[in-house]
Amino acid sequence: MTVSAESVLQEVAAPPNVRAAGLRRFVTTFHRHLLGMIGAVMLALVLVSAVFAPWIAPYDPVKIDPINLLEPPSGAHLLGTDGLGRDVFSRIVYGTRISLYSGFIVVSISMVLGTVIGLVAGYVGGFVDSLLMRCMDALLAFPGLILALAITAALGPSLTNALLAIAILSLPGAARIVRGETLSLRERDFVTAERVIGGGGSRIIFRHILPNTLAPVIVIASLRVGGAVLVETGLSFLGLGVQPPTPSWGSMVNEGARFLERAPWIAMASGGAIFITVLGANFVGDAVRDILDPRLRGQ
Amino acid sequence: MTTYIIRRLLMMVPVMLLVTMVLFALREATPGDPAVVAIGLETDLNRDEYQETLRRVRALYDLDKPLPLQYALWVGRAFTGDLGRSYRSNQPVREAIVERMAVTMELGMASLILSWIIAIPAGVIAAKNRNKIQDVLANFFGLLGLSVPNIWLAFVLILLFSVKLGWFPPSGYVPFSKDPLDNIKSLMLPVITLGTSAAAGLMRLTRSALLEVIGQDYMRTAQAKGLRARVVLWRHGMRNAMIPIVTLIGLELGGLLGGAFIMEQIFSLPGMGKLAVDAIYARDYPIVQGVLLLATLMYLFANFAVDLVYGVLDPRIRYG
Amino acid sequence: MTRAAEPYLSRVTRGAVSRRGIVRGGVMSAGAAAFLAACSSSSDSKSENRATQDTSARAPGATATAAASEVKAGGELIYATARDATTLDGHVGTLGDEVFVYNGLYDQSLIFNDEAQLIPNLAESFEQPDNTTIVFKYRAGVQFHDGTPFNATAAKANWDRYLNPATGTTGAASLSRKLAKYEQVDDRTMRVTLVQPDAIALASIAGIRMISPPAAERLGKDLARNPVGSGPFKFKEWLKDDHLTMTRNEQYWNAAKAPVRVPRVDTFTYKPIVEPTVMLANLKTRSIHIAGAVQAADFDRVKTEQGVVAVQRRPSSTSRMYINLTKAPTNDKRVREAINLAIDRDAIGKASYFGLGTPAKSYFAPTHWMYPKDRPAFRRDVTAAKAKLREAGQENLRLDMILPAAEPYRTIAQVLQASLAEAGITVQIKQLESSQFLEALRNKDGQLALDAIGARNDPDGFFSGNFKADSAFNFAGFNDPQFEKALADGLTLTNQEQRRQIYLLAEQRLLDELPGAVLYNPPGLYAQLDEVQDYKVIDFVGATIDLAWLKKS
Repeated sequence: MTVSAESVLQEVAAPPNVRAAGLRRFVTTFHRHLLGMIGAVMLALVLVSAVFAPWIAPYDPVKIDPINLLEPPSGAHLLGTDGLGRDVFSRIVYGTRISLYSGFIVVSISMVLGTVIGLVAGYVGGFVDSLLMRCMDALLAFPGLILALAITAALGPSLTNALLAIAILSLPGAARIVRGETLSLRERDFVTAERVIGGGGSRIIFRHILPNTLAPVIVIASLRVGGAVLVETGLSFLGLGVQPPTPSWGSMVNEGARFLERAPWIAMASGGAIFITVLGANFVGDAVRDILDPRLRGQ
Repeated sequence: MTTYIIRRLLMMVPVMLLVTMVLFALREATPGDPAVVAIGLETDLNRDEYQETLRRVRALYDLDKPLPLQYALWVGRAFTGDLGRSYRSNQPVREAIVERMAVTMELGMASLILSWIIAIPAGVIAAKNRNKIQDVLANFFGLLGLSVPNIWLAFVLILLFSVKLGWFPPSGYVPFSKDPLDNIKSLMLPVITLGTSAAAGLMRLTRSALLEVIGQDYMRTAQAKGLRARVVLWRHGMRNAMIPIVTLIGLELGGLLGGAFIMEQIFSLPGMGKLAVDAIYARDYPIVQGVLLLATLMYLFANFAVDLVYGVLDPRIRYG
Repeated sequence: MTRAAEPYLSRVTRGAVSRRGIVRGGVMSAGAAAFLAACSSSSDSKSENRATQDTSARAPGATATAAASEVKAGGELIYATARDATTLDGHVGTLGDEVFVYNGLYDQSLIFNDEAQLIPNLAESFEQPDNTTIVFKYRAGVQFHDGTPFNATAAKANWDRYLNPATGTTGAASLSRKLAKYEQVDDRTMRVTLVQPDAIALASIAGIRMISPPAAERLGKDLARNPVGSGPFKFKEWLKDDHLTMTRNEQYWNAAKAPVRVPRVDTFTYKPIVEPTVMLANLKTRSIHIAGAVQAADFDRVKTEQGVVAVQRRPSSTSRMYINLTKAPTNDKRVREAINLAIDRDAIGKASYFGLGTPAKSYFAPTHWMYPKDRPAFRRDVTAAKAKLREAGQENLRLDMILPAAEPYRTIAQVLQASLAEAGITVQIKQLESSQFLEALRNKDGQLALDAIGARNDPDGFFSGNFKADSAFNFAGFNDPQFEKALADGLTLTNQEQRRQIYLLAEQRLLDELPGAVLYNPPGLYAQLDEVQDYKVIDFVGATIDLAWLKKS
């Protein structure tokens, strides 16, 4: 699972020269991006489903019905039923919660921690920097899935633990970018000026450096959401992650694979849901990057 | 240059030690005892006999020694090339890894090469025709490829190309030495699955890296000088764009193992990914440690190779 | 679904074979072969009804032996299953589907016939001068795959190795406890003395697989990957997780046991395929001959597949749940009774097995001679369950259920969760990977635990592992003097009717005190290509891979 590699590639291509655009300018430019808008609509759909799930879903997603197992889509069940007779459509709708939760947890933990590590490494420099970066290197060297397995084995199978594992794997990317930013910002005039006035380290970090690292971090974050959902799928496929009977798209893909010939609607529905969400997230991430990075906007 | 190489090789050692130490530490943190797994649900034994058997098996695996000692023993033996024996099958770990390395390497390399073949030209075309239809399509398909769940794609491909059309075998691996054509056929579906998302990511990276380079002054200078567009693009543009691309390739090489595992499971390929994960579940530590060591080595060497390539691509970077 | 870690218990749902320690099936006994040969050929019925219904463990059903003249030798038989073997050392292996491999490679002193009786294999006769002594008389003219002759010396060497702690045999400790001594009487005779009469110990020692002593000596740890036995097949090669190949042993001592010499195929290949969908795909594309297990969900479609025979065997395993007597609130008998009343066995059958198989009504499996055919099935009664809970003052229970992180447990757990919820019991499902599940089971971590038990020959096998007071995996913490006495007595009896009475008594204690509940008997489902002939799976014995042959059309 090349989540780390994937994301690092995005980071490498999103050079640390991103300017934080004002919010209004951001919104006006955003809506000129067709794909970005489409992606935003897709994500909005997911968000609405997550929030209003109890009203949108026609059935209880965990109620089993041994009479109506693996029913094909029909008037009664829009997307058919699964191996335990549960309504697939309702499970997809409730599954949005797990997916959004996954994306949010992974991205926020890895971004926050990664930023902290990057800031410290970049600002303090020297031995601390070396040590932290070696650790990040070591983390990247770990085959991702295996580390995720080990962590979930250690902490017990649950969604949060699985997500924690994925978040840890995503650290190096954010850390590296933030460190790069910090290093270059450290030498800039306004920092020197602050020092001359007598401002301390933390003031420098919080007032000057941090805000300037936010933009690239946001770019990375928006590009990571999709990846987080995909990795959650993989972990659920292996049985780690969400425990039954909670509906998650990942475990539905798992079930869908088992019944692929007999009941293809399960795999199609869950695969499709994942696809749409990740695609939407990627569209949005792309647009965000295009906007925040002036160098890529036209020649 | 030689000093640089030696320095880099030496620096690999602390990283490897760090990684393997973390693994040993994880062993302690992770619940689950290889001896328990080995004995299984042996219901013939009463409680005392079970404890006795447990003790015996743990001694057999050296698990009764203090952890630092176990680590030191392992590292010492590893230096001589002895990675121990699997708890479950007693197979020498090195042999187990070598047996399966070919499969994972072939799967990984083939996926990467497929992704390069698709992605780099596509990325170049997209960058050249910025905002025109080729670019939009390429970008769209790129995002599409990134968004498809691997697992789902794998099963769909099996159903379509294997069961319905019969073009490829649904699973299993045929070594190249046994039958080259069958070998290619047996890997086709997993390679397509893995290659798709890799290609998507690489294509977008190529495009954006190239675009960034195109905007640079030296490109305009080259154009102003009257050089043909193609020369400008390839000799000046690509060469510099290659740096991030090569970085990615280096990272992907290192990350082969994890991505391949699920494919190995679905397509029943006897590769290292499956070996490692089965070993984790059974707490077969010698295997896990051996595979991890290899993965780390692969990653470090890949990085090293990438850095050397940097030296070739960018004359400003000189080592020594 | 951690297919990578599909546990030892997976074979239960395959309905394949029994667990080590109690039963060591040989591939085929002389008695069973003769029995099969006596059946009239009825291959016509196959074309009418693709799914053969195995109504008993003994009846070969529609695919009976064809006339000797039709049997064609040669070819490669490919058998697919979910898990690969972990070791090929006949003394160490924990058994799963790999028992097929062991039965192909190794012989034993005695084996079980399809009527669950011990009959000669390497030992051409055995006698019991008194109820603690057995004398094995081994046949002459047998050699191992490496040419070493087999005799009583070799047998003794094998028993020594099996019981030696350094070998790593996990069942050795308990067998050692039951053995007083064993000695070689002469070149072809071994005498064994037990501490007390014990039917299981007899079966265990008779079932020790015979490995060539010089090979074991020479190979040491590498024996696990280079087995040398005396069975119908010789080991050729093993690429873990890919394939394991065995070839015909031309010097097989029992080659003449059937009209056409055995084994019939040239090569037997054992292929692990983890994903059921992929295994079926392989069957359909004719890349394998036998799919060792078919999911209930796919069974209907497999039945209608051209050129494929789908087989449904009578259930020989039982899925069950243990209830912890040592933890509140399940320490209250009324709570346990309520749980038993609230279980919806039919729902489990429908959800997990699409209605195939039978709801369990006894700790014994339907194919076992102790199965109480006439006993009424459990009746679900949610109202009574709620009443019991009210009586116990526990109207809103929360219970923890542990289970291995795999099918069918996952589905069963969810059905149980839903059924018990109707009685006001909230069940928290905790899927654990195998190493953690084993620990949790031993440590009684939770109130409910799911398990399954495969075909057992001896009735004791259904109880002792999990309900005896001093057993290592007694999750329920059951400790009942009447039960203990019944089990102890049962081991020493030889009269089947007496044993029946005693074990029914033991079972009654379980049914009264409810340290567990029986859930369902899964069907044994597998599929094969129609060109495979004379392949049968027989409880306690194994599969007839030596008799099987491929009909070329």
